[in-house]
Amino acid sequence: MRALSRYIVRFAAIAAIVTASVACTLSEGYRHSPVSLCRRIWNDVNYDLSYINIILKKVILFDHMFDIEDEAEREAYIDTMLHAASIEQSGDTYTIRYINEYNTYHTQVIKTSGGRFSQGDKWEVSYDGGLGYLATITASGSGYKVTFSRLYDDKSNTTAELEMSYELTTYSENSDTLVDIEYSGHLAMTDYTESISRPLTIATTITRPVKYNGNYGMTGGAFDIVCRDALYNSTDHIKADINSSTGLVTIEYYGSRWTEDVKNRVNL
Amino acid sequence: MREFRVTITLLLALALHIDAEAQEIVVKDAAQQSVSSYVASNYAAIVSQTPTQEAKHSLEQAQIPSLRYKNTLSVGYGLLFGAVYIPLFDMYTKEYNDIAYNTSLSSQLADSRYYWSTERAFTGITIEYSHRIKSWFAIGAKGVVSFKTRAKRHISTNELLYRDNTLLAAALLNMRFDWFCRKTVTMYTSLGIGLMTHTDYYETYVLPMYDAAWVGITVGRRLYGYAEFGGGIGGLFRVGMGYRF
Repeated sequence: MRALSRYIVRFAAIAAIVTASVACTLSEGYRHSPVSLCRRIWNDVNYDLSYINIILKKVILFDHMFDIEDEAEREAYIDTMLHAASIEQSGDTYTIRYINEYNTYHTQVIKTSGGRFSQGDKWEVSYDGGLGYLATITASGSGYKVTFSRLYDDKSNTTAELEMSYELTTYSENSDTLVDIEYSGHLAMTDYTESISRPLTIATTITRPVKYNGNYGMTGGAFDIVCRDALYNSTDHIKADINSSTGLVTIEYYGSRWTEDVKNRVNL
Repeated sequence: MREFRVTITLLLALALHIDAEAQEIVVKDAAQQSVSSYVASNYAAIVSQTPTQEAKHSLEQAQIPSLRYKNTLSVGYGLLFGAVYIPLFDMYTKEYNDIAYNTSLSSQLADSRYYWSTERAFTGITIEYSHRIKSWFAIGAKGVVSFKTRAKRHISTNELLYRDNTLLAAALLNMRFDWFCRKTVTMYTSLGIGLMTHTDYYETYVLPMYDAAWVGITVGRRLYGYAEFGGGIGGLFRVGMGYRF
């Protein structure tokens, strides 16, 4: 009996050690794919780019409005192409009112120096909607220099320095005007939501010019994106490339790649 | 013949003194006769040394280690940390995850950028001392420590962001009820109440805590192994070793 109890004690000791070693793991870690991180950063940049595209398109179309001399055609153009509720002129400043689906007005203000930016005048464009912005457009070389000193709200802000050129195609049969924009430069987004002293920044360099078509959205462009989060002391380096023929964007992060649709996320 | 008669007489007298459960003396063969002679000549001494019911019970108790020794010291290990199963308050199960709950861009990116590594734990490491004050009841003290750790790491580089350690330490006053005692096997139920400190990445706080062994069994004598099924901070299943002294 004594020998038996010794065996039982030994068995209990061994069982305790075995169970202890098994019990060491409470839950296995799950190392998920970085695609969600890349997609989130790209979406943020894409959001900025989409917004910029829409702004540039509207400004170019507004500039083109002065080419239309017939009053009735101009009214129709304002309605169908600018989607504006009204345009008021006060000196060299134009106030364009838009009405949204909630029946509230937002106002885009274009301050000119008396001329058109397409003819070398400097324009200052601002918007008081939920996604406010302040941009200046000046002639530069064969194109235009566009500077966004403010984009979005008070918690995150994007600035951009762009070199832009564009083409307009007006179809005589329906008077529709198609805008093709091409620009390069860089964007810098700063987000203070998590920390004011240690904000998150996303610096985007356009390594191949962005091509924007008024009907199809972004159809080209390559981007070098550096996301720096001072709070976590981390830097994420992402490359994105929009294939002109497929319209798909390829995102690269630490040697891994994903391809997905380019979505135009901003609709004004 | 005379000696035989004397012997019989003395044995009858002896039978009157000892009770029915006393050791029976058989006097049938020659060997027993010599014993009987010895008994006859030492009657008084034998009568005084013959165990009574109480003495016999004490003798049996002396042969059961869990009753013979008053003090017990044991160490053990518990599985399935039981505190989370207490349907008491949310305070036992509250969990912090600032990254997941925050919707800022920084937090969303951090949630995607980092992952939790394997969570390892040593739960219900127990040391217990008990002192028997009745044959069926002992009081004592119990200390239980549980520790778990996991790391927040970068999904691509596996670089460590920070380590999340949680330490639970409890001190309990323990009562133990032995309800089945044999030479090598003892079964019992125990209940302890006390306080637990919870220390993690964010804070330290103190909570009331209990530990119960609904059914426990020890196997062995002075040195024994034990297994318990219980609840509370000690875990659902516990095994360990102990020493009686």
